[in-house]
Amino acid sequence: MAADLRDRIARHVESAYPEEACGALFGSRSGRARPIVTSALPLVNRAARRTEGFRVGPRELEELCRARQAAGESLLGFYHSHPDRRPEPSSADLESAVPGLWQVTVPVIGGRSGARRAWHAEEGAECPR
Amino acid sequence: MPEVRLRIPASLRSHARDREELVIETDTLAGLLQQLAESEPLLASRLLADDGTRRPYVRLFLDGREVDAGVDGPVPITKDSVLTVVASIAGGRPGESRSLTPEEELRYHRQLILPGFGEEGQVRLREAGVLLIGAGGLGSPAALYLAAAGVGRIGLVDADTVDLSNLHRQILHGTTSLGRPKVDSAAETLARLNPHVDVVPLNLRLTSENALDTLAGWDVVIDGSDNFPTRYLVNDACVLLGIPLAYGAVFRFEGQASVFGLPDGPCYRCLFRDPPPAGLVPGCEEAGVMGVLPGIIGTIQATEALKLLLGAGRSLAGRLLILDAGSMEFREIEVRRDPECPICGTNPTITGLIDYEEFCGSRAAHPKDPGIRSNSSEGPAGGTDLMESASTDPNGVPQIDVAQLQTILDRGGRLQLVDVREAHEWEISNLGFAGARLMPLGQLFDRLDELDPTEDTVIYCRSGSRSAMAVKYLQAHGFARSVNLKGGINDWARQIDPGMPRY
Repeated sequence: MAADLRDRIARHVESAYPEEACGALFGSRSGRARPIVTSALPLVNRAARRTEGFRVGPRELEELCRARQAAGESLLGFYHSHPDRRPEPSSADLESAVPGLWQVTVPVIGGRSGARRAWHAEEGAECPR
Repeated sequence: MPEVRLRIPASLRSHARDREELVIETDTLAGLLQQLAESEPLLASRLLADDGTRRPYVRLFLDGREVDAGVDGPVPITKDSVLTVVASIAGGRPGESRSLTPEEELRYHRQLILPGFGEEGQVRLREAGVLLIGAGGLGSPAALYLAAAGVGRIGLVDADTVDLSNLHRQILHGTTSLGRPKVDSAAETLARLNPHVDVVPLNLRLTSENALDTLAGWDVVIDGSDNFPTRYLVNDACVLLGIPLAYGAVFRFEGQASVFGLPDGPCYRCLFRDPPPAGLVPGCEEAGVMGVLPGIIGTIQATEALKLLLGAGRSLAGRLLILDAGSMEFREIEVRRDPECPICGTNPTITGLIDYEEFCGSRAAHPKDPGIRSNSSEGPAGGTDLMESASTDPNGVPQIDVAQLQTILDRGGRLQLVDVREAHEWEISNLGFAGARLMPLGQLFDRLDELDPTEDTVIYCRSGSRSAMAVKYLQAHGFARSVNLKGGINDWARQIDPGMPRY
């Protein structure tokens, strides 16, 4: 993931603090172990309690994916923040993680984002960035 | 074999070679999933675990109705359908917090400062779920106020779509929502009002088969249904599940509200053991209702639901509140728990859900009573072959359709044509040009002498249900040659005279 995308995600999750923020990652899935992310786009957090979790509206995601597909990108995964918590996936994260998609979790402590983690539901692979 | 279009969500599309939709011929849900396992094993493995149960992030909706492959067994598919897969993308930070955010504190400030409410009360509402039966006249104001007050989960059960004639009272829906499912329109309205609320739209008709599953897990149920079978069904399900029920009902200018199903309180059956005879109490579409009345009753139901969730105040349990909006008077009658009540009494005879359509007599359940049937072998007496051409409805009431009526009128047959609607309905549309006369159902019994029992008689109303009652009554009182007009004047307007208004 390029530095400017990482900054974009950091700015997004910091602006949402103390609520959780979420977004989608798009890029090319070229058969590599680690795909290349070319877009990180914010999504509306539709959870009932946004300080406790996040939820993506399926319709919004459909529309976004359709638009990005037209631009030649595919959905690679999602990012979301953990306000005042460590970036390790929570039980809720693991339960609803779709296999085959990457998850990036970003801690936001006191309003400042920290070191993110990227993980993969199925293989359990984790690669700190 | 029916064709099912399987809609695949974006987050799973990479497992289906990037396709949005697959078409599969099948007659059961299980068959569909089996075919999928063979043709698209990767996608199938993402939807279902090895033991055939659905993965936790996947929900399946067959024609808008949620189905559960692991639980529902072989769901039959009888027509071309759409199976939509929804993959929830959700999660959250570890750990729980029981405090309010600054935004919530501001949003709910005016109720937070109420004595005995506070942050604790607000968190209690946030963690609570209220299920509304019906997203109509009563459900609209109730859902709006519950969402505004911050009830965390609001479920809406309704299988109808928004109709223009709903809008004068069903304020969850607007003109732009015409034709859309009510639960979808409602979910949008509520999300606009308060995005913190988790709205659960349930586009289904509540039945004895699905009621217990649908109601289980909710903290309070609000009954905003418009018919007796559903009212008894909701009452019985709440009693069986031990869920408090905020009851409300409206009729013309009168409204009622109470709370049923509390551990020591009465239930709806303690108040009304048996439903009224089918057809005796017309619904809103026939009787009319003042739009603001369900607004008042629905907000009373919401108030009672909030009190129950907060454990605050004195609930309406044990009291039936009756509002006469005409004179704007509130009355109260005491409702005692009936120890003989068939469902909540000391020796209940109802221990599971029953057939409520049959219980309320809305479906023909008994053989026809020969004593009130016309003897069709008598032959024509009044110059038409009315009785010979008549069929019988499922309740044994003789009836003709609008085309048959037109034929009789065209031939100039002698006929008593009686309209049993109310005067204001006559003003909308009538068959006065064909000699029809107005005798509202309530007056019929006193005005029988105005009719000739030996003549051929056709009775009509708006859609044929009130007139069927009238025919039954007339048949029992010597009018052997009386028939009902099937489909009522609205059918006439639909099929014979498109220029006539329908309502």
